[in-house]
Amino acid sequence: MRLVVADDSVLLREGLVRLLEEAGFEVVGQAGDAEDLLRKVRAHKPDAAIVDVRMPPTHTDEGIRAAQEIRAELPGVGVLVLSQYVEETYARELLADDAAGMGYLLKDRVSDIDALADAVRRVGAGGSALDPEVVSSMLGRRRQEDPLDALTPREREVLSLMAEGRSNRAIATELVVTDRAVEKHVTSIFSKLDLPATDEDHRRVLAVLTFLET
Amino acid sequence: MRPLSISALRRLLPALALLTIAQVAASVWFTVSSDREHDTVLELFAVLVIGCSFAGAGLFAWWRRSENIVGPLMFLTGFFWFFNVWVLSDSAGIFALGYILSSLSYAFLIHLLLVFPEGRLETRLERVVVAGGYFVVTVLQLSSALLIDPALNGCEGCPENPLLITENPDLYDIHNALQSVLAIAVLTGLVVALVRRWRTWPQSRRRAFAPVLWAGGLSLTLISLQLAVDVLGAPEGVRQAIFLAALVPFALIPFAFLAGLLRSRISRAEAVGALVAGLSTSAEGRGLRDALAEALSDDSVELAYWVPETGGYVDADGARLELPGEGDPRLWAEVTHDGRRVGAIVHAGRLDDAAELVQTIASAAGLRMENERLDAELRARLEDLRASRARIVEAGYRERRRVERDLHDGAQQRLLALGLNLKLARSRLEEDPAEAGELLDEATAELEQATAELRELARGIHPGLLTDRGLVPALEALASRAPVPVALTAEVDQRPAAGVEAAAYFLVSEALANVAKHAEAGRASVRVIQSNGWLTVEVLDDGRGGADPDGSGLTGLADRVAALDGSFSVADHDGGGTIVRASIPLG
Repeated sequence: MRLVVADDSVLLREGLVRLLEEAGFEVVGQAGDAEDLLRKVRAHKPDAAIVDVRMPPTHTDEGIRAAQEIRAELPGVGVLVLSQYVEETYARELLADDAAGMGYLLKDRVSDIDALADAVRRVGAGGSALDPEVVSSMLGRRRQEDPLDALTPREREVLSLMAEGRSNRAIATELVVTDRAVEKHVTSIFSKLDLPATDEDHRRVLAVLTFLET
Repeated sequence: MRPLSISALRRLLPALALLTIAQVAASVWFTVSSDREHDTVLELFAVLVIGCSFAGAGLFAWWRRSENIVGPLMFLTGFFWFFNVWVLSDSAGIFALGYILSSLSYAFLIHLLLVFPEGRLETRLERVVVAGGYFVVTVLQLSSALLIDPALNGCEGCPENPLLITENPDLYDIHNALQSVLAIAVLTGLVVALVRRWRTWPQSRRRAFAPVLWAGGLSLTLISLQLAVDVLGAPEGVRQAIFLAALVPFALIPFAFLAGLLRSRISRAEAVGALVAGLSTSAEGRGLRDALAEALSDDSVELAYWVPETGGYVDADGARLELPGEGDPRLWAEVTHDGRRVGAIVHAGRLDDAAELVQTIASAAGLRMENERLDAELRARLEDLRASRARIVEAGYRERRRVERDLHDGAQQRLLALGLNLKLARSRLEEDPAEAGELLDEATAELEQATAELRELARGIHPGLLTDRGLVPALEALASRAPVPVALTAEVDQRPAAGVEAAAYFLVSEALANVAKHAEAGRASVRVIQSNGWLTVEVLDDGRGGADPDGSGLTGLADRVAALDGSFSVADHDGGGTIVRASIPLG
């Protein structure tokens, strides 16, 4: 899988590139700012771009804007945005319209190379990746008459993993249960929350996100 | 003395004038019809000139300054003076009345001297002197009347004293000596009291009293001179000439009083003029107060400046000031300029016409006071600002200490532990790879903890989202993390300045933290509305209310808002719970 990596911190970028290459990815380009990133993405047309949120010149949300430009210009290129903080606002901006090929992770996840590699692969393959912290913050938000109260603890776990963009198989592996059991939980969740059933992972993410947003 | 109404005066004063005329007639009759040897012309001249001048001037003063006791006292002094010639009467009853009543004049005169010109006794000494005077001329004179035998006291043709109870000349002499000693004591007290008054008086007041002193001093000098030539045994003609000469200034005393009474007004009018003239040149902040104190002869004068924002008064230094209320002997007069309230003059209200004078001055001083009021208001604001700035600086230091402690106790310790674990893992790498792996896992966990803590800390110092996306998204994130459900309503068209956004954000953040900590609330709502150049932020909960606006967190909020010229309030709202509201100008 071919990647472009953008981060203004050379130290972090080099480390990230090394980790990704060890994990079997091919890093075809590196960029230090959003403009550079867009140029390299246009030139290399990678499977995915890994983008830091804060980059020069303003060090605010260049990465988010760049991700949206890539999405609009080259829909085939997956984008995984890494952020020092995770904000629901950014998650919504990146994933709410179309979660396909889009990911948003806390930068800390780079220390767990397996999880990172998994997310990169999902995004590169047109799936989604949403940081567990965003998901838990969304799930944890206090609501009046919360429909989530109807879920069993196990169903909540499954819902969280779905929202992160995991497939049924991945969820089954994570929870050490059978695929069949996961499917049952998913059906139950969708009926309890009154969501339209769908098999595609990134559509599920979207449905869950939409639900959690309201 | 409570002033009589004009209509009462219209009836009373003519009646008194008629009574005086009757008194003059009676006095003339008693003098002329007397069989005793005396100088009719001289006696009549002395009595009529002095009696009429005092009584007449008294009635005039009474009419012009009905609220002042000076007029009545002058009248009484004059009216009772006439009784001096009643002792010439051949009738024993008239003689006794004259003997008793004529001395009352002196007590009225003493009283008059001590109340002039404001009509009030002020010190204990003054009250004692006046009371002593009345005692000597009433009680002692009455008892003297019971003891005196005119025949034994150099009055050959006098009628018999009808009140005489015992013919004991020694007893009378003792009584007479006692009365004289007391009279001397009263007169000494009078001089002391007058000197004391004179010393405390400002120039303007001394000028008012000067005519009285000149007339009084001259007649006293002449009377002393007469007494002296008496003792030296000068010829009768000289004695009489001096006595007559003394009568003239003495008779002038009431007119001097009258002049002083009227002049004290004129000089105060001058004081107002001088005040206004002085104010236009004086640049000193204290100028107005001092000029007023001088014009009113009242050192307790205070200026209170109106601060419309707080709806209260402050002094020249900007400190809060209460106006005298019910039961306070001091008075105050409002000062306006162009129809707006600018302040008040607080004064002792000692002078009878002080209130009226203060009003005159108040209208003259309006503009100046308006300027000083703006000054005082500015100083009050500066005072607030200084205090608020100090608190903000202090809050800044407190925040730094907190960050330092959090860093030290949190991330720094974890990174140290991480370093140790890495070193241990390095040393175990060869002999016990399994343990080395565990140590590395531990190190990774510490690292994750450390980065998570640093992230939270950084968010607390300044939320990245606030800078990146502005107030509303940052507040949404804040609301979603709040431990109680929060309904957020935001009507913000464009991003306010960074300072305003930060103040609004931390206001909501602190208020929601308070809701979670203290309010026992089930839910909260946040409203942010931008309109007419103001950003209004409201945080409302359904808890138990009773938030303390002086709590350190809330004071900090108030300071942040005040630093941006905004207003801040904390209150219980009708539905229970607390409402925190701030309005910040968008500038």
